[in-house]
Amino acid sequence: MRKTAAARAVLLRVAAVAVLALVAQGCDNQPDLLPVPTTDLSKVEPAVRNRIAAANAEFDTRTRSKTSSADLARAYGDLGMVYQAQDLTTPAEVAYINAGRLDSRDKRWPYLLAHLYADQGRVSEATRYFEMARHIDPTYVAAEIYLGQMYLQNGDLDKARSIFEGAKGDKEGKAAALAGLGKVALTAGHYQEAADWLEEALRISPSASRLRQPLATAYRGLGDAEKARANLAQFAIDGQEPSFPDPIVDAMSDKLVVSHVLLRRGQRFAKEGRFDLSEDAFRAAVASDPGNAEALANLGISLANLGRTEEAQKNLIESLHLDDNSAVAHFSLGVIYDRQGEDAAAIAQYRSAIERDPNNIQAAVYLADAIMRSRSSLDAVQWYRQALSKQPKSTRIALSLAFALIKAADHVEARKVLETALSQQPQSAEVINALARLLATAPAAEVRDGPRALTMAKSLFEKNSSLEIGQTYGMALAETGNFTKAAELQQDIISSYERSGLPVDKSFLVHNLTAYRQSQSVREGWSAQDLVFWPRSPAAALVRR
Amino acid sequence: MTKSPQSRFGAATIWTVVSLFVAVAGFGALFKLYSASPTAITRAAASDIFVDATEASGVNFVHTNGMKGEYYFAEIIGSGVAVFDYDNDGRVDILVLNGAALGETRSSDTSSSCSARLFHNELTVGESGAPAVKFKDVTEKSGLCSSGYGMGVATGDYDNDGFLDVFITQFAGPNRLFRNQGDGTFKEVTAIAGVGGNGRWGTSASFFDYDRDGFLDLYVANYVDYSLADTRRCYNFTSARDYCAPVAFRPVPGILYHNLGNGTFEDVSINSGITKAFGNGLGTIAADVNGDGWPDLFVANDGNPNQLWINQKDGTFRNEALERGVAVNVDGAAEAGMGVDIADVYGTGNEDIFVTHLTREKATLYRNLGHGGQFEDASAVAGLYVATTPFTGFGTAFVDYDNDGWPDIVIANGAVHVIEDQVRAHDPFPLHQTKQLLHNLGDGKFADVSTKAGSAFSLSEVGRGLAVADLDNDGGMDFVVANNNGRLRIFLNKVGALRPWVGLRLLTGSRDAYGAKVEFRRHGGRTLWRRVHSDGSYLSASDPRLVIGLGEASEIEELVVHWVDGTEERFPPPALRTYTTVAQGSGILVAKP
Repeated sequence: MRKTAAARAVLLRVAAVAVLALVAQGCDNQPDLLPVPTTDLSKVEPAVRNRIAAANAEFDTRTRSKTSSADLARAYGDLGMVYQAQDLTTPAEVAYINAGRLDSRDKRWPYLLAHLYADQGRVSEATRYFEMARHIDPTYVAAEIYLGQMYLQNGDLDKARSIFEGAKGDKEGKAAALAGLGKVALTAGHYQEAADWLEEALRISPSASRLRQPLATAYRGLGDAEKARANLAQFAIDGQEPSFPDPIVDAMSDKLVVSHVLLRRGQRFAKEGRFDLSEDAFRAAVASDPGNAEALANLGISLANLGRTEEAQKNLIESLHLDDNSAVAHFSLGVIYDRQGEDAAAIAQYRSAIERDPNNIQAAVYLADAIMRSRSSLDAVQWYRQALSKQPKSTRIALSLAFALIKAADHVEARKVLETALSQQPQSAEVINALARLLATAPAAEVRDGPRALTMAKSLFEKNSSLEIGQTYGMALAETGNFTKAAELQQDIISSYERSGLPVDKSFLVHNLTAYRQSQSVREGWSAQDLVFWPRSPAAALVRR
Repeated sequence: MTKSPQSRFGAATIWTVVSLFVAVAGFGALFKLYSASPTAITRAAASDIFVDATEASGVNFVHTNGMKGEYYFAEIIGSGVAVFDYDNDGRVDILVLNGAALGETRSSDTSSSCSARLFHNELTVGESGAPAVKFKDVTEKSGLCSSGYGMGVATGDYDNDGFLDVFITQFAGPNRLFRNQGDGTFKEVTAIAGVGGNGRWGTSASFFDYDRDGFLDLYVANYVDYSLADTRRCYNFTSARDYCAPVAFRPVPGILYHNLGNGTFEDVSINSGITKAFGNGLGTIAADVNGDGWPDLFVANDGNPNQLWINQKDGTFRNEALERGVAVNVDGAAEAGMGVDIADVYGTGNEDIFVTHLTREKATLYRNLGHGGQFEDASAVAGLYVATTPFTGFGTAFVDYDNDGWPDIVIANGAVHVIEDQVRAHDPFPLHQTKQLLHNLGDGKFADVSTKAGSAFSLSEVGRGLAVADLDNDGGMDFVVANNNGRLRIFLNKVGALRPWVGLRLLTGSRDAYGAKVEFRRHGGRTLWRRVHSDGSYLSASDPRLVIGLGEASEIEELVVHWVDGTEERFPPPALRTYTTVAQGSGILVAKP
């Protein structure tokens, strides 16, 4: 049945082309038109087949009656866009050629044809058609940028420079044009000029981290090894180039229905933090393939990042109904529950995520956090340990593990964990503060080391006189017998908290002040209400529903 | 092989030369200009640079990739080919690897037979002086019987007995080392040597003496963490089923083996530091890129940044690819590195790096700026974008096909994602592309001369491995292409012998002096630099002999060899249009400050 329908469609289109050719013969300036080749769609997903069939039906409708060359050109062009969006390049190419022949004033057809050729690596043809598009509309900055890139790739540096010079006058294309000028200069070995252009491009588009690599090359060429190193340190292999508007390609891309391509597009946007755009792409992917669990899960994650918790939850649950094996979906659903304070549900989802992906460190940490908040800290210890074994240099995990051990009254182990963390991160204020406080307050004498605690806390306090570090300093002063100074400091801390309005367990502060005034050390480093015992990652921060 | 002083240098000359052809009867007239000799090899147009000599050579090898519609990733990756003179008879032989059945049919595959085939070169010279290349399958007789799914091959004399040994990497099976016993036979020594690998998918490999202790060490690139049990399905942009891209899988680190000098190797991957960075390794080549006299290692990764392991001279390496400008292209993008070669493209004495890539990515030429090995992507100015972006390049080599003194480039192309037009034409394996020949114009630019290079270059196949050698000993560099799911092709050079050339085999002890650099000083011409190696390209091994085209400046002033151990020796000019063996210790030592 499908074959018959397809054959009928082919015949219709051939007939349409024949009619058009006849019409063309009768009219002045009507060009020869090529038949748009048919494509075997038996192996593509139904959404693609349906979209192509709809596009062909629309084309047939639009070309059945006598139309102007411009209308006919648009019919061909629109058909070409649908084909190109699904990467069916051969029919797209012919459709664009016909469109261009029928209406040589519409820049879209040579422009999209140029992209089609560029995607196939046909640089010479791409250059010719970008040139044609630019000739039709010299103000379309995307055509200028791509054309400049083509000339640069061709090694035609003078032409590339000239094109980019022209494009940099356009506000929205300026960063890309400057980047192009930088690369032209770099290719020519003009390092200072390259560095200047690329620096300027980065000033306008600071997120274009891909430019750091050519910029580093320029600095290296100038003999400035330090700047080269600094830029390479900021270089990201999956970073961005400066962007510029390209509504023609956007319009073509909107016709895409291939679900996994939409999925990948959404993931790219999500990686860039553009969750508004990723939501659109994932929704389109789901529309093309409602059974695509990955698309649903990604949609849920995007929605969660947009703060739309309920919608996110719905999509993630639906995704897991389709495919229960996705560790990411389980983890994301766990975060959703976590945000709503539903620790038990969150714990179940995190466990499911880890079962499916034992290397999911984030799930292990979030699970441990949730357990720490709701149950025995000893259970949390094992998950933090597991996470730390896979990411031994993580300060966050080491601290969480130490606090879980302290909560479980295992101060000996806690000290070991903090000592290891300190050896790995000797400058970490968080680690120094935690270890100093433990050394000053641990109930077990073998764990305590007042003089060392005092040295560490004093040094830290001199660099950063925060209220948290001040408390530690006070505890160390008391442990080493300097109760007067400890009490003075503690009084200041209490007053500062009162002035700042910051949330704090005032009774804990007062208890310690009283102890210092009575010439006593303290044996509790942290209030039971301290947030260190109620950990929650920013991603799982509680939301109001 | 015998070594004897060449009388025209006098008895006092302490360097040793020998024409390889003394061992080959009837070669007296070989060095006539090739174009003057009628060829019995194939029908060739007068303008052909290379002719397809496959049919006439007697080699009828067809690679099987084991495909049966399941889109197993391994199907599209292999396999490699080696050209090497295993019996030291002065004629270069061919070893070609093969795939095997994959999936459920594996149990009934050819695991007990020899999938890799060894062809002995039976080169003869007719009365007219024209060489006739013929090969004979000697696989079973040689004992070089490698079953399983062959991927890459490396050749090197690991035991310094003067005969090239063979290392083969495999998919879904251990890598294998075959020791050349010097009598035309091989013996598998994988277990004794300890180089079977760690179960990972091995690809290209390089023999090189990284610690300069006189024994060749071995680096093995690994590709991705993939097995047939991996059932994930991948799709192309049209939504039709297609082969997965490597980014779908996790990369795995390569392996560095240190040769202990007693027939065994030690895995020093972790201690040497080469596991600190890794990608989807496909192409490998060793060369001293920073000019400090110690061999470094370049690894081309498929879709990840490349690694350039700089030898720290203490048994360790440091990846300096990013800071030296060879990790990514000029746009800061990682490309799909496949094949690689290194040579002095610009005639500066600094060696440049060439890497083949996917369609749309162009092949990349990293120009060595000197300054201790700093590079820049020079592809645009070199004219490589237009020539190479339409193709997916795999095997490649710098080869001075016209002996004008400038290294040209040959590339075996073949796609990895189905090509729409070929699908439309109902091609059962719609990945084929034509080969390319890029002529070095001597001014930093390359011209695509493929269409003028002969009908050999219009053959559209799924090219993968490529290896170069002078198969007919006429001074023109020939090449062999291993096609995926296709026939092994042998291409003979018709034009190389038109210009004067010098053939050299460099020996350190009795083995080929991998890593040694030749400085060829000429009257009236720039100095030429060449390096002895068999690695590079893609999954393949080339003949380590050097053919140095002299172009229009054939008056040789002297030859200086920079040996791997750091010594330098001067040698008098070798004879033109013949092969000369140059042995370390037989020249005049160059005093260093």
